[in-house]
Amino acid sequence: MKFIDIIRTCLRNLTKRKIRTLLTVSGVLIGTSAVIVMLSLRVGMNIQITKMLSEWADLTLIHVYNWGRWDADDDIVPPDLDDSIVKSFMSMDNVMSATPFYTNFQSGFQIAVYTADGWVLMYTPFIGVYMDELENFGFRLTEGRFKQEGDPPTTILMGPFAGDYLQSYIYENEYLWSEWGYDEETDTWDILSMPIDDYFKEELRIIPLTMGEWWQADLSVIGSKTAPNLEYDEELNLVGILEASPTDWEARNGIFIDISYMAGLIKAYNELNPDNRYEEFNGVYNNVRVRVDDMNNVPAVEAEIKAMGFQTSSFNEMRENMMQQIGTIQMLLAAVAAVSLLVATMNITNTMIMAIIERTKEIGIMKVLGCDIGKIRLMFLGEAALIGFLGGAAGVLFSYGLSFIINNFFGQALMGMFMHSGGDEKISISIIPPYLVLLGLAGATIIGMLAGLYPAQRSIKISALSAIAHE
Amino acid sequence: MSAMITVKNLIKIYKVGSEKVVALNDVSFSIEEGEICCILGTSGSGKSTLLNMLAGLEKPTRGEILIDNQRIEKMNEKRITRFRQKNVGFVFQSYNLLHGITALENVAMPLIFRGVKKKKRDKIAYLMLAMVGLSKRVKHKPTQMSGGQQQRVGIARAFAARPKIVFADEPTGNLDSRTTIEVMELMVTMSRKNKRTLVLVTHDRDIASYADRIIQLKDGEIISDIRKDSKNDEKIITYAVDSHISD
Repeated sequence: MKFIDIIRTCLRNLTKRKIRTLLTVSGVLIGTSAVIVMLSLRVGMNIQITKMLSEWADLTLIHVYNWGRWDADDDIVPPDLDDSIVKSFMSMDNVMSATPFYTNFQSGFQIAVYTADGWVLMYTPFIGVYMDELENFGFRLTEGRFKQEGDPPTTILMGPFAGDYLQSYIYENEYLWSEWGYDEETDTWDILSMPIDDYFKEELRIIPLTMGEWWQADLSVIGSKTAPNLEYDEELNLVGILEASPTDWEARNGIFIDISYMAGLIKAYNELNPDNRYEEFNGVYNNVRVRVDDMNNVPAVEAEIKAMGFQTSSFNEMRENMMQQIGTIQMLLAAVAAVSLLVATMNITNTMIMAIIERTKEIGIMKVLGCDIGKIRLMFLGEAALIGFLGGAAGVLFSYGLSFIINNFFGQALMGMFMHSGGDEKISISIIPPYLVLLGLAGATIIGMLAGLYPAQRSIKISALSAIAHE
Repeated sequence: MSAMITVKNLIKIYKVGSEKVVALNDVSFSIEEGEICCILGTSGSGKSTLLNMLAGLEKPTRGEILIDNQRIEKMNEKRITRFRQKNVGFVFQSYNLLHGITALENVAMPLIFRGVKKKKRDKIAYLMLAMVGLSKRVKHKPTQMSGGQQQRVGIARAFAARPKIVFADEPTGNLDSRTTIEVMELMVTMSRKNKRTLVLVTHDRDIASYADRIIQLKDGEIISDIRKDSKNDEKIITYAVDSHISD
């Protein structure tokens, strides 16, 4: 008996009892779509949470701290967070870059800019980093270039907002607001349309703020038309403006400066302000940031760093916590879905047993006429599998419908259960990727076959003799 | 001619509760290839039991059954099924057609089991149906046919796969006398034309008269074995007519 003939027989038998087939298939449809929709919610919510978090924060970033031994029971005393440790972070798998991120020294020095009004101060915080690592770290430029070999240690890059301040100082008196790219209708600023030709030509000087209070330094500098004549000042070499990163607030305002140069600045400041000293560098950092190539590799890298004794934090950790919370709720729902699939499976078994009882004589006749018992078993297995497959296919289609309804009418409400989200925009919390479609089809077919195992086994035990017994 | 079927010392004992019922008691005979043989007997004579065992549907308690030189009583279910598929055709009293499918599909059924492709088996089935005079009924389902027509479909099915032996179990039991004659003549003609061995089981002496040979059973034993040749041809016919009158 050929395979095609077995399929034909299955189809014929299924279409012969339409209502029963329809009901059994519907059972599988409900079970399959329940499971698919549950899984699609998991996929969708994962994507939504990732999306929302990545709007707030960088999910590939790990903050590394050294707060010493966390508690007395800790066996591991972490080593100092120095250059060699940062280098060892860089050599870990999947780590793109690592750099110290020193932001404490904010107001000791300021940048003075020469404008039409004379010298002004920028009041922007300094961030001490490895300047050579900025590009690897994932920063992008809007203007200029990154630090290159041969650049002096006074080389700096500005965050986008710092760049804007600089522009505004330079052009304040020369341009009207409207010409800056201010759009009255939308009340927005188009920063990119501002004139920037002279950015890098401007004279920028770094000057110390005596007494540790910036406003006192102002007095001697602001408005002066001549270069500040101070005990310590140095001309800075601005080479680039960084692109605005929506997730890194510190970097927006900051002026990036090499951490070793910053160490020198702190030393200089402390000499000028003996009563108001900053803590000087001794080659040990408090905060190091590690950039991982992919969000999914963050946990492994984080674990590796933790194993060295450091403390870490990352938004990825937060994301995983959220997913875990959602996971618990989904487990409950998945259990309901699984039960409905189980009921559907028993329904198939029941239908097949009925079919076999009804067709006892037919099976007997087929046996007498020489149909291999293996083929008879295959026929019933095929029939059950076909019910499963049809239910699975219908279930996939139905799932797409359910998914559409959930996304259009319930996405906002459901997502709000887990995190704050604003606006009326449609949120796709149910996403059915192609592998879920395949899983649905294959799963339902396999379940159909499993459900058909017992009935099929029963079919081959039917006696051929019963068929030719006189009625 | 060589023996197609050889039965040696066949014994079948059923256990009914604690009692033993002997259905066949030491039966031995052989049937030649191409022979049309009738096993005649009243109900309870053991004729149906004998047929079931010849077809491999039941196993004997003791004894040997050789069909085409193969010991079928020793075969397992898988092998015996395959054996039936290749060597045996059946005609039943109650036709045993599948009701959900057409006459053509019913006739093609043994060919499906043999793995014959649809186009080829449909052609064979059509020819078989034409041979039994049902070429205009190929698309009819059994429920739309008379008993005689159904049995002719059954005969077409039995011969479709060109089996070596056709077993017919009370093939006319459900038919009126006129149709009985049609069906019997058809069956005998088909066997002769195709040189098939036909084993007919009946309680009806009229039916038996179509056979070359009649083995009569009573209480599980052979009481007569008459081969029809030119000499006793007339005698049997007379005998049959007598019994017909006496009925």
